[in-house]
Amino acid sequence: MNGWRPTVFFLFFCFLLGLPVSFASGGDGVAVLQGVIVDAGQRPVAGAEVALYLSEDVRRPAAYKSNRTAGDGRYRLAVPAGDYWAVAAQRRDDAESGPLGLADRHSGPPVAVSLRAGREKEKRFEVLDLRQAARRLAREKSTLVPVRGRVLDAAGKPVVMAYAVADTVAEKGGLPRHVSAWTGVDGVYELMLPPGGYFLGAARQFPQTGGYRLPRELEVREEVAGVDLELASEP
Amino acid sequence: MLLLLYCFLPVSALPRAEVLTVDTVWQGEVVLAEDVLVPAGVTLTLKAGTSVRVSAAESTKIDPEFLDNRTEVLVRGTLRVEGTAGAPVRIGPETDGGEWAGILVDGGGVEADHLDLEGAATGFSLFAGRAILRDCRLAGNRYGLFLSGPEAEGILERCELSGNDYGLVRSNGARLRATASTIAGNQQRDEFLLETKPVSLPLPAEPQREEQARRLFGDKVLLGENTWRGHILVDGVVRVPEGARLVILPGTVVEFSKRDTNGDGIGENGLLVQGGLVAKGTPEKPIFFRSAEPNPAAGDWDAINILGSDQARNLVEHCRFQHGYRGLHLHFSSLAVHSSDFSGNYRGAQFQESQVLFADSRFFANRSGVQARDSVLVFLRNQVVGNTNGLNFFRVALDLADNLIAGNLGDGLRIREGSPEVRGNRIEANRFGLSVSDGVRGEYAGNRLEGNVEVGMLVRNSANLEISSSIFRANGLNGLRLRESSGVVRDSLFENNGERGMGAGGFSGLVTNNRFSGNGLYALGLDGGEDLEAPSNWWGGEPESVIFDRLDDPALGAVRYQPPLAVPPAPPLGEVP
Repeated sequence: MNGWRPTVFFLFFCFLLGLPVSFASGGDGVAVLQGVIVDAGQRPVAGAEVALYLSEDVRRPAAYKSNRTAGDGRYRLAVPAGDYWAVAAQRRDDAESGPLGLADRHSGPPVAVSLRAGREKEKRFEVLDLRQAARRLAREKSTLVPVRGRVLDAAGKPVVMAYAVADTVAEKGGLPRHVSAWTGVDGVYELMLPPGGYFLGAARQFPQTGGYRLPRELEVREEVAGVDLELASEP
Repeated sequence: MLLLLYCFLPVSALPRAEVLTVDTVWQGEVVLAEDVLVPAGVTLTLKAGTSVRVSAAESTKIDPEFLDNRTEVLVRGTLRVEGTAGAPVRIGPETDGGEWAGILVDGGGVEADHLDLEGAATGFSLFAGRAILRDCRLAGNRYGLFLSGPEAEGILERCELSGNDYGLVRSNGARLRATASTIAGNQQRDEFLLETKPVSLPLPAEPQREEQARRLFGDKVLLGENTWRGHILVDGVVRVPEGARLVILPGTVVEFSKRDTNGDGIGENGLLVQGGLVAKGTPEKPIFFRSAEPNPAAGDWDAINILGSDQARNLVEHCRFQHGYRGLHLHFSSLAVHSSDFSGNYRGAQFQESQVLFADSRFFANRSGVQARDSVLVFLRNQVVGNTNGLNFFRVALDLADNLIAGNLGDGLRIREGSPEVRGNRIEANRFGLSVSDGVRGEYAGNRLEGNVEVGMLVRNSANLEISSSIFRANGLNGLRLRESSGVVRDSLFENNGERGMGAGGFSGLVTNNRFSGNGLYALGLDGGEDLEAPSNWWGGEPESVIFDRLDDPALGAVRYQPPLAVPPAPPLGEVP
């Protein structure tokens, strides 16, 4: 878990002492990433740090970490030149990694940064707590649109205890992304979908062994009714 | 954005009341700015001469363990008041005219000597537990003492209940023993006893608690697609991050062990869904979310938290939520709940800034059924029965139809602000049936408000109301009470209510084509100086004898009832459930 620490300490030590270093993982020489970490109100955040990863997969220990910021929110990293993915976080406890605490703040998905040898790159991070992040997310997300109809059998009769599904592909090995409630005696279903293009189908077994075929293609822009679906013969 | 966040909504970041975790003594001057909870096993003692001033504020607090929107002292442990004749204990509002909730006893005990209690909505409210009051004075409250249900017992010795609107209210088998006490001089009524018809739901069968093989999850993050089946034990917080999904198959039993690290009596284990949740049971094979404790109790586990998950609608179907803090808890999410039961939780469901559908579900024996704010809610064909409080909605775009809301000890349905449409519901045998306040518009049609302990429907500070085709019958005091509001009341039946079919103060609008009969004191009574337009109603007797207005008290407005209907309009029986 803490395998990065010797590397960081070594780099930091070298940086402080002005020692020349070379790295196998990046280009030639040292690059610097620095800047300020702010909160949702654009105020500098103390006690935060920036972590660099070697890929977009950040569910692992960071390759390098910056100093923890003081009251001015400034951070600085000296690392091998190369391409990285960066996130910033402020932890209220002393944990170095693992689940964030209730009041911790984070910058969200990693951002790509390209660091060149001998250059200093300035990067500003904004860290939010979960509530703030959720609010922002809610604003960015689109509204779901209702799609309604009936699940019918081959004879055109409503099917009870069936359900509708929708996904962006016509065949799905596992459970499609959008799933309705069980139909009643009237066979009526309702799906709530983000606007976009979909394939729709219906099933009775949950989840359906052998996957799903979604034969009905539909472009969803606004509320639509009367999208009846014929129950496929179960594979 | 939420990809990396390993926590759920920080309730601690919100305004939060105080939970006493150790025995506590108050003495001298005490200012109570927030709610106080005395949990089971803890004693709060007020020494002789103590004066408690309570900040009087109506809040939007969300902690499910509390019962009133105003500042309250909630006793589930023990409250001991050690006043003396020379140094009584006083509890009242911090400012003149402010109103605080009062002392609520929910499973605890109170022993009080020489206590003066004033300015509360209800001085003492007992839902479960015993209050022994000696040499106490409850005055200047809206209700002095309220005892509700067979588990409530009040013992009064040399007490005085006077100067309240109502001195003593007892309902549904509550017990009272009063010796050498005075219950007199209260403005509306000194004492009344109200019984409502019992309302219950058949309890569903549930699987045996067998020591069968269980998959164990501690603090864990589930990535990608996950399927749960069989018997699951959660001993931590299981997180489903954005981009991942948890699918729970019919018949799955998910149990949560109790972990209470801060000693507040509330368990902290639960699920945090930031990705997707599909919990799809069937009528024959429901899914259980319940406590793993051998003697389950409310709050053993936290909640199914769904947070920032509205890229797809989450689905909960044929599920049962038992003994959680909040069975379901949503922020910024979309969810459909069908045919599910919520019982024995502090709160069945709570959500903010979300789009939610509840259909054909049941909420019973929770401290509170559902609370929501700033959301879009469709609530259809549900049963909300036998909770302490039923439904509480604040700034919710609400479509509420064909529900049964009955037998709740406090509010059946409470709506603040928002733009509600409330149709075809049975709201029965609650203390307060339907309370509406601070709305700018609202449609209430085809509802049955019957047998509520005090008021069928109470409206305050609301405009553009349309109340139509409803039945207000056999409510304890008023069928419909309108205060400082405007709108239309039409085509409804007001029958056999204890005091008034309709009471109005500061109401502007029209009351027409209604049918009044058999109400205890008046068909329509004013309690304000404004006139009221009420033509073309059937009054069930000589209008002058059943209308209380300026002819009876010159300080009141006049009811303009001409012309009255010569024959009663048909009651809206066909339009009401």
